[in-house]
Amino acid sequence: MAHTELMPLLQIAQQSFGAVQRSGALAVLPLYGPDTNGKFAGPLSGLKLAGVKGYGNVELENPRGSSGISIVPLHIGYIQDRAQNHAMCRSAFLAPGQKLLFQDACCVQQSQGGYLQGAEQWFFILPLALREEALSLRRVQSYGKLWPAIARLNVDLGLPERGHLEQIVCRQRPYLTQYASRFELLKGQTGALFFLGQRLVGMEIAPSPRYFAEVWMPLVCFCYGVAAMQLERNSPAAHSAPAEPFAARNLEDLRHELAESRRRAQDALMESLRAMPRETFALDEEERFLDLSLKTLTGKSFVGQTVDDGGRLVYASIFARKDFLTSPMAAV
Amino acid sequence: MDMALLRRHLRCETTALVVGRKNTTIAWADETFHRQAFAQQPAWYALQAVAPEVQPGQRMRVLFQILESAQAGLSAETQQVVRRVARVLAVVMPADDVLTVFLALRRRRINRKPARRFMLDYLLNHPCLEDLALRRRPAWIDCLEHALGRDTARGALAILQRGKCNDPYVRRNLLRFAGDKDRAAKALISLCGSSRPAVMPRLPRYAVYHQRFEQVEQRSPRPKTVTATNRGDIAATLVHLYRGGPNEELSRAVDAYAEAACQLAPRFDGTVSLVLDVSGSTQGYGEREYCCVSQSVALHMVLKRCCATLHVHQVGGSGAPPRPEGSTDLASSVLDALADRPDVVMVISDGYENVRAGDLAGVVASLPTAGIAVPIVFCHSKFTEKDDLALRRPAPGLAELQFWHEDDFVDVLHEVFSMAGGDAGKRFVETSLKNVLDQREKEVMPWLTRN
Repeated sequence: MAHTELMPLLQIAQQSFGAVQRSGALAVLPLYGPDTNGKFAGPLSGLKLAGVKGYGNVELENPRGSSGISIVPLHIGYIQDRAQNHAMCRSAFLAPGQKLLFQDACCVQQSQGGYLQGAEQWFFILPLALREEALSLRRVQSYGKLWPAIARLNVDLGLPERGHLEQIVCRQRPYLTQYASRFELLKGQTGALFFLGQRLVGMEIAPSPRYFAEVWMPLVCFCYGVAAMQLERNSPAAHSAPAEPFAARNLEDLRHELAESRRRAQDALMESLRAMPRETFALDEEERFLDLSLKTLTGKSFVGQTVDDGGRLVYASIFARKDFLTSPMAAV
Repeated sequence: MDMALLRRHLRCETTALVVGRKNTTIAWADETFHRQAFAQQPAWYALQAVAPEVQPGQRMRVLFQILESAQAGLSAETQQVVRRVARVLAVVMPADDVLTVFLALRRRRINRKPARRFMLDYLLNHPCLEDLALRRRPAWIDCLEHALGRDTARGALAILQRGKCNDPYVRRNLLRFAGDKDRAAKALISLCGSSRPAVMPRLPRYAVYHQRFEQVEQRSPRPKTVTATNRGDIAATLVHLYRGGPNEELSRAVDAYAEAACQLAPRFDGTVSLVLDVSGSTQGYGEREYCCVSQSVALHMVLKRCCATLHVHQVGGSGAPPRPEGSTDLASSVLDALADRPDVVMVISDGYENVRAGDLAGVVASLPTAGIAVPIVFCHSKFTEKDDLALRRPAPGLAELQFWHEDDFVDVLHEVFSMAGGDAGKRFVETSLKNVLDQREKEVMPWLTRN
């Protein structure tokens, strides 16, 4: 078991920061890194749901002729009408033409029968509040293993206490999908740091802008959007406070003050990053594919999985643990 | 009084004006608002009610306000405009609404001569006088008694009931207000002498008469099922362009459609600064992909053809037509637009601000301190009329307009130009509203001409 730290991961991934975007409780700091030039297929274009072979057994396929190796996004899930919806608890590699049966997938719709059918279809990423538990239950073969956590999340959101994730992903979708527009995916963007208030809650890095573009909407709407929605609904006044006017006496001063206040906001966010307690991760290698290595990271406040390619980080999905999310400081 | 605020109020405030049967006092929440607006700019205030899409309840309030107010201190020109508006409103509005306004005047004991003359003119010259008087008999008689004086009205009606149509008292005090005296006398005799017929058509004739004016105001029909390509020709063609890349035939067609749409649009001889949001979010996704940006670009194409000077500040996007990309920094672009010193700043956007949400609101709130009074209008580019704008209002303090179909452009442009400051804005409002009044007078041919 090796060890690493959170912020040096960004250096290993050769990521640089863009300008912060903030809307309501959620802030996104775009990351820019090198493109792997087509070595990896995107999760929407290069990954197909082949079908379900019994509850908790989901088969994914990287179609023959696909543009590259597929890294299954951590906690990807699929929803279809009249079928038991499923989500994966871990990431994995799929070479072009390869099929992989996830026997440790979890059902996310407690009392719905029927199997997902093979399709190239939209996907979601599990909401942030479920991810730690889902990751800890990888390799555990029990299709109903996430229902209690889903039921708790539903209660937290004021919804009926059921193991039905579609209560959030589908019925709250008109609200959640607006996060895709509230935050813009920028040209060349390969990742993002997600903040709730001033607190870092997630780091997502993709091997290419194309890959990140395909995983962007599920991440911002369903993974981090659900957490932001919860915060915004619990304390609406805190996230819709009337704008403070600037004191400028003319247009030029106003422009200057606007730029200055933005710089201060960006600095404050970067400062909160620097001020974070040092986070050391235990690293467990889970899978290899030639030079690619899939590892699980476990830290005190964050957990997640990463993929490195010959030592360079190409994929990361690292997120705050439940205790960290519910600590008073996180609910800024 | 902010005229934009008044316009928004007249279009959006839907509370009905009700005069209860038993209540002796009547009041409505926005009465002071109307009174102040009339006191400040009576002609402009009155003209706003003639514009399309004003709520029926608001038209009733405007008519009440005009009739209630003393007009002696107004200039002759203003008095004339106000009277013309009152006449057009009375003809355009359903007769039941007009009677409600008259009853409100009665409850308030408003008996100024112009108001009483106006009421008598309406009651005795209505094209469906017989039907109206018969069906709304108590209200009609109440209004007549208020306008004429109770004793005079009852005396005249009693004489008429005895069949003395040419009695000098009746002629002098009642029938002189009627254009067709014989017809009015006949109607009044029948009103006094009989009760309601046992069988009457469900829809009163007087209501049918006024329906024709409602139809004039109705917007052209919109598609029941909205798709990417049935929201107007310009946007439809732009969607195809965005989907398929550059195409000469499509580009030519877009220009031709924009030229055609421009023929219907109002002209503005001032300066407009446009903030055009073409950021990544305007691309949309799924069946709405490219819909928002297409309609925004379509409005820009029409705008540039109908205003004398246009400065454009594009937020994100690249190419022609601009392909959506990049973040949404509306605040900086609005500051750039204000630096042009325009008569009005128009922001066309999907409403998602993300280079720090709240910056635009902060900038807008700071403008008075910075000494900037240029009006800013936020125009929401939507997919359908029913789009939820809850999270799409980056600066709630700004005047807002919405559009989703090409047929909305004329109204949007009219509103934007009306809000413009300076002489250009005033010229536009005065000319355009008077044009609307002229047009409405031609359409409805008011039979109320005696006041």
